[in-house]
Amino acid sequence: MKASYLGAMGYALRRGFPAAWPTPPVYNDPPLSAQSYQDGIAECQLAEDVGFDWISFSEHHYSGRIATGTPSVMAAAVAERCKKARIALLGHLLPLNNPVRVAEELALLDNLTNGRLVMGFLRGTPNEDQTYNVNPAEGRGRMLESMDLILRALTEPQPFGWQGRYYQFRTVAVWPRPVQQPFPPAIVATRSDDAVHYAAAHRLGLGVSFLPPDDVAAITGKYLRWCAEAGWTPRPDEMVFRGSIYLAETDGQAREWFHRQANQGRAPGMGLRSSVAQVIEAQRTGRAVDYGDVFAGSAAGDIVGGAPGLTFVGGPDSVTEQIRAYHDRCGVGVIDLFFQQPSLSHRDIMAEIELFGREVLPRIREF
Amino acid sequence: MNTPQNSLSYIASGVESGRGDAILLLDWTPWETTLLADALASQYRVISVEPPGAGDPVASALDLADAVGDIAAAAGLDSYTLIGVSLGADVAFRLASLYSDAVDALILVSPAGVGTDSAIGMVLPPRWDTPELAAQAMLAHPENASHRLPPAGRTTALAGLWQEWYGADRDNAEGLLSRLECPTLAVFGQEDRLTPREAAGLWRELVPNCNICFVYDAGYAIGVDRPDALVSLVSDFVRRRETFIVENRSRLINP
Repeated sequence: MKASYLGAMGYALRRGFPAAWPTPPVYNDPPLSAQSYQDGIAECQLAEDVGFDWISFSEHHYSGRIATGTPSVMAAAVAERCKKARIALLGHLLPLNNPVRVAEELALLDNLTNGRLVMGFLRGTPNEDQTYNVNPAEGRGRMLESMDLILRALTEPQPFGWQGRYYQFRTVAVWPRPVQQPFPPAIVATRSDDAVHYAAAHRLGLGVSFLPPDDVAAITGKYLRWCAEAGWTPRPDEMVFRGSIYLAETDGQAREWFHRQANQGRAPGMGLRSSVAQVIEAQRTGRAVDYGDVFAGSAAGDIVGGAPGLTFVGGPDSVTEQIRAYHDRCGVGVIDLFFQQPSLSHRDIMAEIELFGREVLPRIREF
Repeated sequence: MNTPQNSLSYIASGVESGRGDAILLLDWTPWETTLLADALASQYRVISVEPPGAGDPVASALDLADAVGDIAAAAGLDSYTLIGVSLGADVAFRLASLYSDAVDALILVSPAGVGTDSAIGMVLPPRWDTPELAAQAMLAHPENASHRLPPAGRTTALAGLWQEWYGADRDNAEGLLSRLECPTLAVFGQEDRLTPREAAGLWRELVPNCNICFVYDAGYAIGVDRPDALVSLVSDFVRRRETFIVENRSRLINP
């Protein structure tokens, strides 16, 4: 099994953020912000040094918790420091972006890394539809069409036009071509049947995030069945799980830290007003929206949703076994780990990465 | 209009002769659709040539191109935009190479290839001579095809033509492509399972002034899968030809 370090590049004082998304820019102090990115890069370098196979990046907006709204910029910066690990862009939020631009960024990154890129396709969390003013009802369709267009743009040898449902281009001719031919390894990060089926039918990898093993196994089971129907079997590298981790020297220390979180201002995440969350959910699922009902009761500004809970908590033995469950029960071959819990300092995280490299990584390699 | 083997019929529609640019249309898929003809007839004079019927002797694509050229001449078309769909595209590009002075612009929708020996050959499905098999082979989502089956007689006739043209011992027409100097658009379905993956790029490479375009979520029968998208694309090229690559839709929100 392989390990991937999620380069979240969180802002140093993220523990003090308000619960609601977006986080107001006033919370960002530019000198501290610049230092936070340098700290984040140092964490990526250490992760590579201790043996992580991939360094990953993910597009998220308007918050300092995962502060990589333009993940390809971040990936390019880290790729200049980390010369061995694969650079995994897991990934672009496709409904928000111009797919031709995404293809250009991916192709360029594959060149800059000399063929170390792994690319990932995401739809994004509900709040992020607002970032670039995308109708939540169109997110799924945009994602599916974007994947087709990106793969076509990365592989078509001649300039071409595209007559889509959401995208129309008369001239697409992406330069440079990817170093990895026909295109870099691709992971579709999703829980939705249609996107899982797309990944299987197009011989792409699958990524699942922040769910317990039984739920992940249900998704990967469908994926493997549909892959078999399509006549292929994914490699271990093509099944990725992303989870949050807190690793301590012992289970007791981990428990103690975990129970302190409520008192240390562990941020509840990227919540939305319930009215907004209801409308996004309705539009995403195609339900009619009764605004009279939606607005009722939301004046108090109740917040729903939030950061997912920790997936892996404990000392090295426990965390190793927790990861093993995803390997054995779900077929996961790459574990992508989010270390930057809000209450942890840069020093804490560096120590945790070292501990993981020393005590956990050698053991999960044996899976 | 007679060929050595066939009689071809055509339908004239649209604005009266002399008042609009002319379009010669060969929409030869198994589906009997007037989609493109109807859409273009509001602005142009459209001569829509029907494919050979079931039971007709099978003519070569080159003979049919000659016959269609005669139809254009008989209809008084000095110059025209030529549109060929599926097997109609196979005839159309031959016609454009024979009558290059008359063809102002060429649009090929799911061009069926130029022969088994050519790099732009076709993936020949085992059979598609029934409506069900044609739908299976040509639609992006054949699982939803039950209400979109083509007529049986037309399917049988075109399947016979297909088998003949893409069977063994067929002449290679690839050399004609370099003679197509008019503005050309070749359109392909993104989910096309009959045309080889590399064919579109080869059309672009081999035809001197060729744009290629993929229609998302469409199979080989683009006009059945995504009719509005096809009409929009073809109409734009008919109107603006090679300048259709320049965006002209406004994104202004609040002037």
